[in-house]
Amino acid sequence: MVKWEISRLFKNRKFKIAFTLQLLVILLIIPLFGSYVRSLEEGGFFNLTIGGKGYIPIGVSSEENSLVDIISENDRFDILFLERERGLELLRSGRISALLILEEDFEIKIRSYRSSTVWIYIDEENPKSVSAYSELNTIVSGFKDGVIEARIRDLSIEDPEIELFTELPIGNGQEAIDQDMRQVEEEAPVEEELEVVERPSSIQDQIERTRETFEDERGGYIVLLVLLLPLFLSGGMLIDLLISEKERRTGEMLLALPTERQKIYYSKFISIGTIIFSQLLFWVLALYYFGRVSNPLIIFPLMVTAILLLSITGLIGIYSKNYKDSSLIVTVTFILLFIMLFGTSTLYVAGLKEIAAISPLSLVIAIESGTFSVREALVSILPSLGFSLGLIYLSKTLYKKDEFYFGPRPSISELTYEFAGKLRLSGILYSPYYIAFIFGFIAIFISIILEIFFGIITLYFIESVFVILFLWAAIEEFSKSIGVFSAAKYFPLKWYEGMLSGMASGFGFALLENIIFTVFTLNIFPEYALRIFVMRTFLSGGVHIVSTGIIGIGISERRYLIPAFILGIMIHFLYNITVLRGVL
Amino acid sequence: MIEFLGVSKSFGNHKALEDANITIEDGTTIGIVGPNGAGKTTLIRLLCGILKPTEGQIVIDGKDLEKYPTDIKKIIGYLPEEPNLYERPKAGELLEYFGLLYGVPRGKVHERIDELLALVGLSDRKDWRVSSFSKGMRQRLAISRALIHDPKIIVLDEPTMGLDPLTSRRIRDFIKTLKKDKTIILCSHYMNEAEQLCDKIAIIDKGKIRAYDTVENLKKIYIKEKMFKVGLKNMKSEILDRISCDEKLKILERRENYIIIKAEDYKDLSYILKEEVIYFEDLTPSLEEVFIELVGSKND
Ligand SMILES: Nc1ncnc2c1ncn2[C@@H]1O[C@H](COP(=O)(O)OP(=O)(O)OP(=O)(O)O)[C@@H](O)[C@H]1O
Ligand SMILES: [Mg+2]
Repeated sequence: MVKWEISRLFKNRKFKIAFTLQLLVILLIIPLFGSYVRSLEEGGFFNLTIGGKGYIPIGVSSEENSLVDIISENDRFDILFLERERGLELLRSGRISALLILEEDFEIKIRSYRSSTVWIYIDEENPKSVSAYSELNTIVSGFKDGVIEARIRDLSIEDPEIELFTELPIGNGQEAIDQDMRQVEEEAPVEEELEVVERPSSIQDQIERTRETFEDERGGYIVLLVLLLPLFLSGGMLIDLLISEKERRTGEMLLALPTERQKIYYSKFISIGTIIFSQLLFWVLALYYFGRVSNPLIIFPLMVTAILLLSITGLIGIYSKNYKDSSLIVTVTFILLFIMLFGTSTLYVAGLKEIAAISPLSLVIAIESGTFSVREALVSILPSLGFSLGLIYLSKTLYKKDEFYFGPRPSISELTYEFAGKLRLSGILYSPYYIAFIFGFIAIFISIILEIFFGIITLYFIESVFVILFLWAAIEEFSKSIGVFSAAKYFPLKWYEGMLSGMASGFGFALLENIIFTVFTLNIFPEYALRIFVMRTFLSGGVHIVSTGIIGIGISERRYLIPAFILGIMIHFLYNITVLRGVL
Repeated sequence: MIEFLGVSKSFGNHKALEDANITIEDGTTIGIVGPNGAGKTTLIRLLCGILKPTEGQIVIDGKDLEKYPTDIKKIIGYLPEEPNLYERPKAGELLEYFGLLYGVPRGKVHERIDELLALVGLSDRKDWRVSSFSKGMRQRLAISRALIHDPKIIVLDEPTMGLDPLTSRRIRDFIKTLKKDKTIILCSHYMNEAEQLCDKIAIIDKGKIRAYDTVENLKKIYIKEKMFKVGLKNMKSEILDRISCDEKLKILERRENYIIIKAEDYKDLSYILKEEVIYFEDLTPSLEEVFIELVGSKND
């Protein structure tokens, strides 16, 4: 059946077009991509657009230190060693594009982990200068991260304060250069706020490493972009395979076949999976051959990503009635996935490896830069794989139900009801609590999405943490209340039953939230994970249960609906503020 | 043998089939007749294992369909309501695909395809793409797909719907040739078609099976009285008096040239027919009219 599905795919015109397009794009990307990576290695993307080929002359105040060593490895820069005054003069006259002033004892300070300040002077009117700034700034930030990392390694100090100043100086009109420079001087200095330490350090290693990975990771990042193309495309193909059978009603004959129903789904999944796998294998080997990929092992995390993608799109394909239906869900999901996958791998490149590690794409970058451990690999592969398997199981279960081919399609709450609707223990009906509990799980995902979305919007308009905390409290309470509402739809609830349902929903929410949170802490501060888990379970767990319990009363006694919501949200909000205060 | 044991199927809150109990003997041809939305297709899909019953059991050859779906589906050939064919492949490829999926040995499948295409008159179209087929051709191709694995049970959902009279007839004739050694379950809107082809007929309406019997029995049960229009050469009062006195006969209408008589059986008329008959017509309602009455009265 798989074989047939594949051969049918290859005969499908839509597939052929998509495939050819994809082939062309990737083929086109290889040379482009080569020069792109090269330009990244040589000195920044911005130069490519502004500066063209010429060297960028910059002035540097001191010769012998590790930062200048790194800068001088960059071929684009032509370094002149200058005093401050002379440098400013040259900058004004346009002879140099940027001036980097380091403290005299920069190297000593850095090696002993003390703060040192680096000034970058530029001329805003000069595009070359702007691009030099961006480049220098990136290098300095990278250097800073490296130093901080080395410090953490040496001292295992927890949670460093990281401050990044990466603003691009954008000029506004014909102001005097002098003034501009003062402005830059105020905004742009990159400060290393480091404390005094006496121990000798592994800083030299760290600097080396930072410099290497700095280039490699960005290279790996581009590889990702290229290789993800077939992944996203194939996800669409799977949906197409599943939905076209519904739209053209050809699926009815498949259901009549003497095979188990889930095998139809599996065969579609596997056939697309095989196609992706061969494509990835081909591209990875080709890129490896051309020296664009340094380790073909990246195929594994990529496959995990592919499976994740397919399991999600497969579920969408099964759940949607038609293309219109699916295209909406697909768009939303792909955006989320994109944010998740790329967001995390961007975090990785930005240095927040522990959080990023959960994305398999981070592993791709890690493998590419040759810095991965088995633990890291497991952390980034297992969650995705587990999640995919869960989704595949869910898809299979749904696919076996008549409703997903013939309709009427049940809603999520109907499915939950079917699953938990008749749960009885010694004669007492527990279903409402069970339903609310399951929805508590679902509420987490709803609220994470809404919180990110509204959080960003709110931050854009009002820069108040309190507004956001309130918003988040409201979003979480509303998401958790869905479970109680759907329990109330099937069972008339007395006030205390409403309360218990609310508490069940809050409990489900808090439980999953804690598990997720603990996974992160386990990864970052393993020694604190247990303590944090216990603390969170009692504190935030308690708050979630109480606040939604109150809302549950409101849902069962409609008179109190609004007051209950207000009270629940306020409790949650107050808790949020307390936590924030505690952290500060 | 196929047994429906108290089978019901609901879609959401809507009951599409309610408590169906029928038994289909091997080698018989069964017609399922009913108006639109009666639940015919639902019944047939349940039989093919495409839908799962909400309640009840379907047992085929002593095996529960839900427990042994793959074993049972192997011996069923199914023609869906709409042909539901893939458009891209060629006719031959399509049949090959389904043949292999139904477990026809690879060595035999091509032989079987040629044989079937010849039977349905599509031999010359073997290498044409399905998308180039007309409606009637698609239907014939779909029938050959249903028969590709030489199934013991053939299930046909409205095989002649939307086809011209000639093509319909060809398909009916084809079904008659199949009749010999297969169990056929056939769905139709047309009582005539069912009457022609089937040994037994199930009349279904609003999800309920109203009647299930042989054509003769149905006629016996539902056509209690027959009607005849008789014109005699001399409509003498003597014979008319005799008719009106006869308990077995009833004059419904009396005109100058003819009378319409209701009788339980044809032979009750025998002494009338000894007279000089100049006109005779059997006005007995057909099964179709019975069906319309049976279904229509309840619909109102
Ligand atoms: N997937 C479905 N979802 C909801 N209702 C359905 C579904 N399938 C069938 N029904 C309902 O079940 C009833 C029986 O439908 P079915 O298709 O079996 O009728 P039918 O006798 O085959 O009609 P027709 O002669 O039009 O083909 C109809 O009322 C229909 O609306
Ligand atoms: Mg029908």
